[in-house]
Amino acid sequence: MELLELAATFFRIGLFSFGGGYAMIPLIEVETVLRHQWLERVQFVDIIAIAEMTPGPIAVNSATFVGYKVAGAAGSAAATLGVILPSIMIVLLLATLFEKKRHDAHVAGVLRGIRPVVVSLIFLAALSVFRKSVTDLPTATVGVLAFVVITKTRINPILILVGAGVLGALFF
Amino acid sequence: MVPLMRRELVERYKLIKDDEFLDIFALVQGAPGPIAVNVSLYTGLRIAGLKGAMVSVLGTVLPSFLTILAIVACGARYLELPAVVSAFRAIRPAVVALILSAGISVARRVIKDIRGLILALTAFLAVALGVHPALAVAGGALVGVILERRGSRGTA
Repeated sequence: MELLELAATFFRIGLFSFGGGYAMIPLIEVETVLRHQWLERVQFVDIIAIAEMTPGPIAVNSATFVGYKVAGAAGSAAATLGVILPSIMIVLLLATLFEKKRHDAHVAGVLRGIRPVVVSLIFLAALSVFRKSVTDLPTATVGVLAFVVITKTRINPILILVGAGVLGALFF
Repeated sequence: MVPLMRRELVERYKLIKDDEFLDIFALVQGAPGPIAVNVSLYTGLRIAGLKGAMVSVLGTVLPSFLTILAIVACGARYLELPAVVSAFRAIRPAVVALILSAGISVARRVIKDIRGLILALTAFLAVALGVHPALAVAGGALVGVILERRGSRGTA
């Protein structure tokens, strides 16, 4: 019963949160802290911190965390499945509609209009992470260094992130 | 996460064209849920059908899932170790650099004329001022259709 409740709750979170990432946090808080009292507010802040510090989508991270607190590893699985199920259904639907019309002239126009908007979304994402992360000279230095390495070499970005982490652990 | 996916799928393994990847990223703005999951689902679908979609989603979700499981099982304490906190403090600016370089390379290819530039700047301002990203994408789509109609009537 608890598993079903977990899956249903995170299904709602997955279904009603557009924009991904940080945009999902308020909804997760309402559902897990206020509505179900699965977590205390302090624990919720911990989850956000952990989600920020670990790789992967915040929604998946918090689903796994809350699920575990409520019902162990099975709870983690139920909540995680619940949170990604709406995505799977809706993206599949979207894809089926779009794949048929891909080469239609109107669709080509739509894509030409959308692409510049996506460019701006990418820069906005950079700006938002920048505000939260570049706070002093050392963090600015790492940022500039990483930018130079990324644009001037073909080193795998994952290695660059790991490298930055090692630098931080040693010198920060 | 999406810039990393682009590097791996488009530049390293050449499984999908950059334009296709970009279009997918734009389209899934119209779907709810974690964007990384949505993008991986659709790219997987495009590259290898339904099986590809399922494998991609699994690949996107499992690392997060297992990491968090390991952390909560261990009591979440080691995240507060000074070395771990410092490491993440340095990783985040590198993430900024990664996103920025992706943005620049995409902008170079996508923004070909003054109309594109105006559209991008308008969208940037709108979203910065609180307009929902999905709405901005819808606005871009509308502008695209209008320009396309005008073009096909031969006025351009």
